[in-house]
Amino acid sequence: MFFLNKNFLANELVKWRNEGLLDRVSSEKIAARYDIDLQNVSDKKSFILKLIAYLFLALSLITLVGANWEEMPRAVRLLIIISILAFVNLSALFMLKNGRESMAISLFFLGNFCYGIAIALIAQIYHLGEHMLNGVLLWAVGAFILSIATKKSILITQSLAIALLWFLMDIELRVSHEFLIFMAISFYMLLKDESKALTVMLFISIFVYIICNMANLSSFEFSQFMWYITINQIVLIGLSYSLFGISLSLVAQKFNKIKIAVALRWISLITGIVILLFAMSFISHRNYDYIDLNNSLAFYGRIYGVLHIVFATFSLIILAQFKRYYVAIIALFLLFLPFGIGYFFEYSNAIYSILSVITGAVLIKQDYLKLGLSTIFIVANVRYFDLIGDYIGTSLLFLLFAVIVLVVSRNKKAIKNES
Amino acid sequence: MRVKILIFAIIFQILSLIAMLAYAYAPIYFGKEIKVDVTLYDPRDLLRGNYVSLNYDFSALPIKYADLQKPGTKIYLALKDINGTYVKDEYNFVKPKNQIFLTGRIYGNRVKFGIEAFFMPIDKALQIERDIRQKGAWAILSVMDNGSARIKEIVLK
Repeated sequence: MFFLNKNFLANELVKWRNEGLLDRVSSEKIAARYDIDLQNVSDKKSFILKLIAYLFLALSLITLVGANWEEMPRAVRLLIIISILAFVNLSALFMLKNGRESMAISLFFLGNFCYGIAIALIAQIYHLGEHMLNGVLLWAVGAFILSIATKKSILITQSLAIALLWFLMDIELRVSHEFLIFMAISFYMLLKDESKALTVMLFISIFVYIICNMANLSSFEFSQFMWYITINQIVLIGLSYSLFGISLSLVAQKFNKIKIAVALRWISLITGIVILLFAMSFISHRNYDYIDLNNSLAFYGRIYGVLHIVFATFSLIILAQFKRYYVAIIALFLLFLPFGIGYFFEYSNAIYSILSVITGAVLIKQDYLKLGLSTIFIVANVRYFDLIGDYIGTSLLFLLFAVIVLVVSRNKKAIKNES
Repeated sequence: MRVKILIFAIIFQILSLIAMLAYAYAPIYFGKEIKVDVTLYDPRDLLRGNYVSLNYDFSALPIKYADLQKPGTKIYLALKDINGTYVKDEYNFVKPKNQIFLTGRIYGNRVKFGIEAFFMPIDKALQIERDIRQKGAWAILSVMDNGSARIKEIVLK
């Protein structure tokens, strides 16, 4: 059974059992038939609920810090917050020693928040108004050390999120390449302990890092002209990065890293589609008299152009290797997209629309029915409202959409008949 | 072994808090007390709660420095005593000698010295904002030899 269906069935079985539709023995028999561990599904849900509960507890403590308990002496405030930190972490350690792993991880999760809260409180007591990002960096480092010691990916995910917060706060001053260390550690831990959450967080972190570098090098804020160039580059590199994520998910699946494969495919698809839809709606402005954008080869000469080529080429090779020819066509399309966009910039929203429809059709073909349909319907809607007035152009575009979808559906039928 | 590493990680967190505490408190304990003019307004920090943002005349950076320097560059502000209140003498990229100075970092056309936020409950913040608008105020700073400073209190004129 396909692993996504397996997850669905596992969740449904637990639900049916809880609702009394199915008795324990029957549910376990069905689960055993499809090699599903029902106990694991149940434990996972209660673990996630515990994490959410502790997240709210941490928020409650943060709010309490914000209250400025002026009437309370500084020393007492500090003692309270440091005692809470020590108590939470030591309780977690005690739980771990007693074999209650899920409770221990939840408490360490809360402990990492308490650590950040203690830093914020010290900053508040001594009116530290500058370089608060140094405090956030300290938080990230402390959280990482604890998380690495536990070797648990959910805690690494939390620490990476804190490090990402620091990276984004620091962007006002510089692009902190030290963030690469946090990402490298997270990647190493991901290989040790597979996790969907950490995969998604890493995917996002790498993307944010690339974009921030790009924005920094392109002097993002200085002119509208640079802004258009930068946005155009972000779209191009975002698309090739997303496709690379999808390709890597195939590799992960081959090496039996199923959780990583599922998460990577999901986040890559969502990111790619969102970028495509964004590009389709906003990139094409009527004022396209930007000389540099019309230089169709300029993008390939920049570092991000090189990165785009690397992502698209590797995607193409991996997809061809795994015989995913439809997706490989998209990779090929992406490889030459910067050239096409540079040369035909005035038609860029039509190009992105066609690419969106092809993606939607391929998604349907790959059994992502809802996602594929939604993409195609959004394209149709945006194009209808955006191009209204230019009836012939819109009509031709819709005709092309119809042909694309028909070609894909016809091939699907042929393949089905063959099988 | 794993427990030992975990204990180390927990101790690291607590020790780093104590180090931060020392860093924050050092200027108050070792520094020299000075008085500077200040105005304020009342924002809010999502993590740390309510504070008043302090504005000093000397925080505005002359254009010749602002244009040339990257954000985050260290800069020193020498102060001189005029009738018991310290005011700007001059900005420099080298530490001043035999003079009280503040160490700051350039953010656009302003310099931040780490004395721009004063945390207090919202009612008190709004009250002090009103009072300062009418009377003016001084910030009492404690400044160390290396130019790092902390606010001790805000005093109405």
